[in-house]
Amino acid sequence: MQACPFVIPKYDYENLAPKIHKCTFCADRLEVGLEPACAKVCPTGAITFGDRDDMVAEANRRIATAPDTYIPEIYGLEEVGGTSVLHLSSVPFDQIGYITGLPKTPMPDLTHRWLRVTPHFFALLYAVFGALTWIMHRRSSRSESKGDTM
Amino acid sequence: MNWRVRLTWWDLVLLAIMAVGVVLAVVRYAGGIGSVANINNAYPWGLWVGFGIMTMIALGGVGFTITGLVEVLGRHRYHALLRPAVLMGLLCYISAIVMLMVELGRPWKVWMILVSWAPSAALYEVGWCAFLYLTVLALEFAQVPLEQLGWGRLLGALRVIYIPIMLLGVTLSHLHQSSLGTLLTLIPHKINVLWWSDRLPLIFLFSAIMAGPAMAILEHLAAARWLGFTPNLDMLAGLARIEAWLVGLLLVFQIGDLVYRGAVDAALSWTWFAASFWVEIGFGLLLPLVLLMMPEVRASRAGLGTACGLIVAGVLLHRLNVAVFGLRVRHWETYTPSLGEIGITLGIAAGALFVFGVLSRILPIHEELPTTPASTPSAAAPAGAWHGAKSLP
Repeated sequence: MQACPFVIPKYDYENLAPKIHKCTFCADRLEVGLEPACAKVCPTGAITFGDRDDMVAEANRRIATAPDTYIPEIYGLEEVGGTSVLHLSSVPFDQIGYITGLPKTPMPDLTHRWLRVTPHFFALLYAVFGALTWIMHRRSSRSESKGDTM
Repeated sequence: MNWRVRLTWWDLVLLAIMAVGVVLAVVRYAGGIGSVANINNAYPWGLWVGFGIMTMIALGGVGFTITGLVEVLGRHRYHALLRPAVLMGLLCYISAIVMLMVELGRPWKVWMILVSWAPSAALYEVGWCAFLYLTVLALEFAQVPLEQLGWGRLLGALRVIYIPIMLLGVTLSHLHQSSLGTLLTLIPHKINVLWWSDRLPLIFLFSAIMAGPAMAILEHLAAARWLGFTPNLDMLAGLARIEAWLVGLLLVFQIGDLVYRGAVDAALSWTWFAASFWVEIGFGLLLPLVLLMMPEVRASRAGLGTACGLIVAGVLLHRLNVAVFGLRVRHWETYTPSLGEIGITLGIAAGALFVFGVLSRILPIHEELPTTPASTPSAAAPAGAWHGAKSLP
């Protein structure tokens, strides 16, 4: 929930066994060959459903055929690596509360750089700390046997 | 072991705060998270994660910092701080787990993280490190009650594995403290530019290391006062010198990071974010650094208490800034902690303090206190000595 820039996952805050919900594109309808309900009932055809490549082509077609209606930008095309929902608008997206300036790479890339090296770090640190402990212990037991004080 | 503890007025205050927390927790489990908390779909973390988990874990860093200083770096003059530090670490981690049980929607499913496999998820690393390190802390601390109960065989076994376990704890902590920062690198679009950085894992690690000596010094001063022994000011002055270096290094790192990321403009603008940032830097790092650089401050109880108190408060503010105050999602969505959230969080913190107070009166946590004649630990393991493993052949 925290990582989603679009605040899409929703939580059952009043439920004792809460679930996190998000749009499944009506998975039950897709299974039996139907399109999602939102696309089905939309009277103006503003909501369309299909393979992503087809949807990108459709968005570009709409922008090209009605350049006065749409700004030449598809929201979701590159945001966080490309989303499954694409939006067109007649005004810049930041004016209608959309978050702009998102990275063009998937969000897990941000943590992957750190998590990838974690196992190596673990082994390295354990070895370094082990060596330090051994050296320090030897040093202190040597100075003790000489009768020095630390 | 002396089981009879006379409760003082501050024990009663802590118990009262805990009672409020328990009542609120009952409401939470009866009516769902929404019945006590203001966290919402846009701000799903809030005070519970920002303070109850992030800050508690950072302050629990005192366990690995002091263990590392004494056992790994061989600075045995700070040995007296070891047991209190490990107990503080243990209680901070336990309270973070208790907080998690309140904060999770389905706490009874928490064990699933141990049977899943998701090495590319930051939360997976956080969960595993927390679980393993809690086990390590428990094993380290178990020596103290076992000594008192006279369970020699179990104690011997623990001492044989002490060095590798201790090393595991110090290593895991480095990973765990930084992994909390890794988690927050996931939300560059929500955290204000003043705090979001690619290097958050390092900032989290360094600030947890810095919090360690400050916590240890505060604890020593507080214990000396309430348990009635003379604080070892020489030892504290030495630790305060190390602490000054740690504070200075973090200050340089954090300001350097800010400049490197080109976020100086944001820091110099008139916003609440910038104000909170400068309070964190000024009172949490700069002022204690100046204080700790003065020998007179390092030699006085009041000076050490002030400087270390500021450092701990600064770490607290940093965690809250990164995880709560510095977050903005969409302007029409807001989050202010509810009284319920505050009550449960404070109740858990009060519980940790209360247990620390009670345990430090019934177990030999502080070397400075005479051990009760009723409990004579074996000659091979004098109270306070934690080097049993080394004395074994």
